[in-house]
Amino acid sequence: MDMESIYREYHDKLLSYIRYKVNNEEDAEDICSEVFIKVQKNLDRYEEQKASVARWIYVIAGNTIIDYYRSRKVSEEIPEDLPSESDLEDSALSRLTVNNLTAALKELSEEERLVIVLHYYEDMSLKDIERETGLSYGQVKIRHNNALKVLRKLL
Amino acid sequence: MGNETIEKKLKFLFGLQRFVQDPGLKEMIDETESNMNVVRLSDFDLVGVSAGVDTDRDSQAKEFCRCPLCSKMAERLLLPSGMYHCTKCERDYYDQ
Repeated sequence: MDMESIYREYHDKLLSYIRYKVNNEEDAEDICSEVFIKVQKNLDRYEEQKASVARWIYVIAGNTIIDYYRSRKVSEEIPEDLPSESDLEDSALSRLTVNNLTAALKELSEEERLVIVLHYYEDMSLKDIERETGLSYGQVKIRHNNALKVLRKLL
Repeated sequence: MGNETIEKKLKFLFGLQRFVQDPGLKEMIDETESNMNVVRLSDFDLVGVSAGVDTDRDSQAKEFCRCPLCSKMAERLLLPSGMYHCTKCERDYYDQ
């Protein structure tokens, strides 16, 4: 069981679950990243006889969500239920590979690829990209949208 | 397919890359970013820049975790001073 397989199999479903629990897209993505980091750090300590992989990951997610609520000092009820294992199904995303992405990015112009990498890998907003590259916001948006048009056909 | 679906796929794949560090995609990302005509903080040792000292980018330790200052998940750089620099909010802090 390797990190790539785990990420590919559980990311989409886990993110949906977390999004439902915290009701905030950006925080859900952050929490999801944090869960996978914890999974990666503790992968060598996972014991199959104690719990399935799915159950293990969702327990980590549940605890991370609890920490999130505590750190924000939110008085809302902390959710305690975890999804059943029958909820865990293959997602279309899990069939995508990094090779698909590399091949698709090659079809972009250098400028379009830069915007995509900065926005989706470096997590910069389009405004940040405008500031960092010296392009106008309009130019950044156009390159972003053109890139998405190309990538939509390939991924 | 609207933008939402393709954006979801891109977030998923780049997120996956953070963990697997596929060398082919890493090389493409590094090359793409090196084409920027802008100095990015990760290219320099911040102390080194102010002292006019050249630094080795590869010696910068980078890890992805939650910043205690902005509460966002971001890559942080270990500075020679022992502080960490958050690449999201661009502030420095000591590890807790």
